[in-house]
Amino acid sequence: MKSLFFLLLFSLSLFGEPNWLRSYEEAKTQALIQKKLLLVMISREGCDACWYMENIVFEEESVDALVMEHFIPVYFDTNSDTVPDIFAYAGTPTFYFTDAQGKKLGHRINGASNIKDFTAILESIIQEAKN
Amino acid sequence: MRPVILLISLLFVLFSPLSAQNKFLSLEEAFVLTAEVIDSKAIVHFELADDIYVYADKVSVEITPNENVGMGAFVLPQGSDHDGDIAYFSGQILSIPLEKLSQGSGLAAFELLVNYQGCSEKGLCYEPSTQSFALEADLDALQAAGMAPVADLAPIIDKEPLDENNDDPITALLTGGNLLYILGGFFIFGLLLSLTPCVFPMVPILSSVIISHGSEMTTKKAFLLSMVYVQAMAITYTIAGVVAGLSGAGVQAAFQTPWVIVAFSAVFILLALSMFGLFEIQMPQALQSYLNRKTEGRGKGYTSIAIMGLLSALIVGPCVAAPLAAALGFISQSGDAFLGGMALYALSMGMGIPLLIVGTGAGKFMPRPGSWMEAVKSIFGVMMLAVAIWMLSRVLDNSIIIFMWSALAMFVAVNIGAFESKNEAYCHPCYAAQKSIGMMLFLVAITLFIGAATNASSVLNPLEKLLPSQARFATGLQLQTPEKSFVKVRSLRELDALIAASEGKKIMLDFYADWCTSCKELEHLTFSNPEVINALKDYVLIQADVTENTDEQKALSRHFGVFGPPAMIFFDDKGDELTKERIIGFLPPEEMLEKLEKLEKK
Repeated sequence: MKSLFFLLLFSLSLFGEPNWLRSYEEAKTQALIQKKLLLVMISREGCDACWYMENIVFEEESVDALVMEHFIPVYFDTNSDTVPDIFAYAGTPTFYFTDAQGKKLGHRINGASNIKDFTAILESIIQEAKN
Repeated sequence: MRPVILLISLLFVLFSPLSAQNKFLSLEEAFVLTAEVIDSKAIVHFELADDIYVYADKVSVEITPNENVGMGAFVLPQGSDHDGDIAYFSGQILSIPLEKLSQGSGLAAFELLVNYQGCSEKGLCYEPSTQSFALEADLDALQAAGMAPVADLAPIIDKEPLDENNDDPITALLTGGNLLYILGGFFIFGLLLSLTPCVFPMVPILSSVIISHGSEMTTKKAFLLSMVYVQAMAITYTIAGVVAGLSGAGVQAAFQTPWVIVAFSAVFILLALSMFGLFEIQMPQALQSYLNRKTEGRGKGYTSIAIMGLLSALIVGPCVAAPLAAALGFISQSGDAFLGGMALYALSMGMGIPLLIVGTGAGKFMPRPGSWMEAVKSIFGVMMLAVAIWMLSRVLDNSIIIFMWSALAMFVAVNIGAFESKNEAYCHPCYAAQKSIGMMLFLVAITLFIGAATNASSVLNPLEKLLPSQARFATGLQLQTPEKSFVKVRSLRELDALIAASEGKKIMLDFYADWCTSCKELEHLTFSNPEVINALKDYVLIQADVTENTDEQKALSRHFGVFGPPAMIFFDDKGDELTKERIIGFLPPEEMLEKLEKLEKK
């Protein structure tokens, strides 16, 4: 009986996702310490395409693992947060990648991508940072 | 979860966002809004690029305060479902009534602001935006503020004389046939009506009262008790019907106020408790003996069951179906309360026949006293609780109701012995079956509990909030035919504004109330049927919500001569009602399709 409830709780807690920071400065510090890159997501509550990224793409284990290993993820909500001026956006979601010094890597990514394409984007950024 | 994700990913591959990178349209390209003033209305037109949609709840309209022109009462169109959001697609029109704020005349300039926010199907959501339009209105064409037209509330008796050529066979029967035919016909209609869910909740009520008489019950007494119940029900229906027909007001709706429903549910809960000998729920001794006297006392049984019948007719199963509406319409239009009343009585007796059979049967096949008897009582107790929850669902929040169902399922599961180890050596298969049923109910209870916790909207689909991606995928495939939803109106004024705004489109107006069983059935079976949705795609769907039975809602019903929900009224593209095409009562999807096809040919 008890074990059944634990099973239930456990299965609910399985849906993890990256631990998003809300401060760009703190993320840069973390990136410096952990020798990682920054992944900046500009999002908005109630945005369908953001929902897709947050609940489908970042929930995918392979994407999650890739992000956890190489990136410090930062999250801005255009409605409630102040997005740093250097990150321009036309809509949500918009993604930027920088190194720990704040140098931009790759292009600005407009809109959502599926798991395969987003993985490819992440890998190309990781590759670019190595060179 | 996993296969769903794979499918969605596949879908995203199909329109390959990577290759579409930087191909997103600018805000100005994606949303082209135009506005103009036509007579006394400002018309806003949404011209959206391919794959662009706007969140309906993010759209708002305002007029920059000025001394000449203001905005009249205005309801935004409801929009269509888009992956669980309500959205507007290209071609959406807002029709905003304008009001005159000053005494001036001639042209007056004003500024109209439209706020909106939307997304591209390709995976980008735009930031909220506001577009302003400099417009001019002719003050002479506008009504002064607060004076917007309110249609006349004259009773339908003057409005709609009885049509001699009415092709409704039921009305024809009433106006033409002889008394025997009429009564016989309505009796048969009643029998047919008894097969609808309106009558179902009365079965446990009647049977449990009879069962509770215990071993003293004879077939004859069971029949008499059932007869009293059915008679009380039929007479109530008849009186309520005649009053409704003559006054044009729904009597049953008056009993659908929250406190009546809550009080009546409480009665059911008490009755249920009195059934639970087996579950050993202890009631205060005084209450217990009072209930015993009430339900098992010999002479008093008839009075209480008659009261039950009366209340059941008014509160438990208020159903309006075609024959009932025809009889009511006949009474209101001809003033012949006697014939109409007789017809109603015959109708209700027809509805009561199955109850008579069940009630008498409950007495006849009464098991011998013993543990079986207790089990049967408990089952009826659970059914009574179910009736109580079902009634409360008209006044309480969905998640609370789902939680109650969950609690009931859990209660039964535990009492059936889902978690008890085998302690009696009786037949093994029986034990296994009992335990399996208990475990199933336990799972049902957990599922419902999750549903309640996640704010599910229907007890039939408790996990809907946990499986949003499924809906996403389903609608993703058929973006071209999004499921339409009804625009709710609660007053004639709102309705008139909507009808005016929908010029050029056919309209279906559906009368609905939360307490109306047939309306719920219509929603779950007919309006959710994909073929029906498709057939209705060219219609503007409006729902007149008469749940609270306010004066404005009564005026709505009276304006159309509708005695109660459900009723569906069709309008042509000029906004004129197709009076002969009304549908009263529940209609299964197949018949709805036939009706729509017939309308299409006209």
